[in-house]
Amino acid sequence: MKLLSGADLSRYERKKRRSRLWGLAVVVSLIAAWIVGLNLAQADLMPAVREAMPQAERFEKATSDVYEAYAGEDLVGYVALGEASGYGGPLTAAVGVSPAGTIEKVVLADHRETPAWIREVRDAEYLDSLSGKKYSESFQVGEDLDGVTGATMSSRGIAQAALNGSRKAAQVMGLPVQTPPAPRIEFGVPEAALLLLFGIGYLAQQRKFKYKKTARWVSLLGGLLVLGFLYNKPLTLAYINQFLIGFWPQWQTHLYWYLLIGGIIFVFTIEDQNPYCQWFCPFGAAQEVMGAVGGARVYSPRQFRTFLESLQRVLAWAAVVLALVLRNPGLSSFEIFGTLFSLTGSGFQFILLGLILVASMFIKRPWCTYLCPLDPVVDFIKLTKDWIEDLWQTKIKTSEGK
Amino acid sequence: MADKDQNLRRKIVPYILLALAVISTILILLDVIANLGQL
Repeated sequence: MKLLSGADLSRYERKKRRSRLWGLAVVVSLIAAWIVGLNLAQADLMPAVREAMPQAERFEKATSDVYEAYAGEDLVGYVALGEASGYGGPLTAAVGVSPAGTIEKVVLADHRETPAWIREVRDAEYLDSLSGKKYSESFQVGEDLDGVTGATMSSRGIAQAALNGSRKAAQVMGLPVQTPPAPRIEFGVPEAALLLLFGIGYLAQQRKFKYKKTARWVSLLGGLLVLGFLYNKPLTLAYINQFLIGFWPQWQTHLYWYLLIGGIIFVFTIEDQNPYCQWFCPFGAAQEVMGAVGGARVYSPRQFRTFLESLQRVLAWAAVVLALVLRNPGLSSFEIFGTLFSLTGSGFQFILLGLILVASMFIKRPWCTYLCPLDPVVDFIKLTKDWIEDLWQTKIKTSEGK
Repeated sequence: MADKDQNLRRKIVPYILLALAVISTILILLDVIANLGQL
């Protein structure tokens, strides 16, 4: 191990102190953004209530989230606000229900989903497919309803919100509503693949393991195929934002979210390494495949290093602050993963994707190195972890000295 | 000749990277602004 000279040591200490001050400033700004977000006005849901029962002329509140809808003096139905977890956080649907308990119309009243995915849901006329269903029926996406490709979590959340809303309306009508069964634990191919990939990563990190390079490629290609192209479930900033805002979904229906976030934090704490980015990030893998084709190399331009690093960090910080202020995890999650894996995104995202894929043929992982918001998040976690360890060591030394 | 190529590459690549990062950032900002506009 190389020993640091006195000058190097003091430079290292200064750099460490500066990083920690920046870290502290980031924490303070995120707390401030969180508080501002909490105090921002809630969405006005009445336009969605009116849209869910267009024939009604007036609405009377029956309970806190169920409205009786009248045309003249006639009760024409009910509109209930149903909630559930989507991809980006809680979503609310205004559900128009006939006096017989049949859903007439579902309107997405409030959501935190990625706009491009919601466009997919609207284009697929998914909301209309919920009309005609009853509160007593099953709303399983894939079995009772056709989900929307590329927006599975959003379509599942909308279906659940519609079911919850129709049940609330049925209760007000005095119809027999059975207690909903406990949610089914969703453990499928993506969850199993995730555990397997964590396992491969753990095994390959062992010192005696000989086939590290092969294992890494197997892991990368597995991630690319399963977590990328088949299921479009890469880790995005939206996951982190959701965690920070406090939108923690039900573990039974969002097991993947917990396995991924929990797994990364666990491995980071035990092994001091981020297992995801280098081993099975599907977008990282896509760039490496392109790099293998074009012979990509690592470039680290010394004169712009600080600028590029700062740009990446400021982008990530601004995206998290925006998400906290607007209470919308997916809005500022600017990754182009969905653009590649489910061909969903805006024109800007497709241009960016093309640029990155071409660049990755010559530069090793340009997205990860210069743009990915998760890289600064990982740096921040490492900074915090090292700081806590330092404090702990100091505490031990102090207590030993006494 | 190879040295000349190497030198040229060493001079140009940082600027290409800088341009890539700046253009990408602009595209990202435009996309986020467009998303905000849809709220």
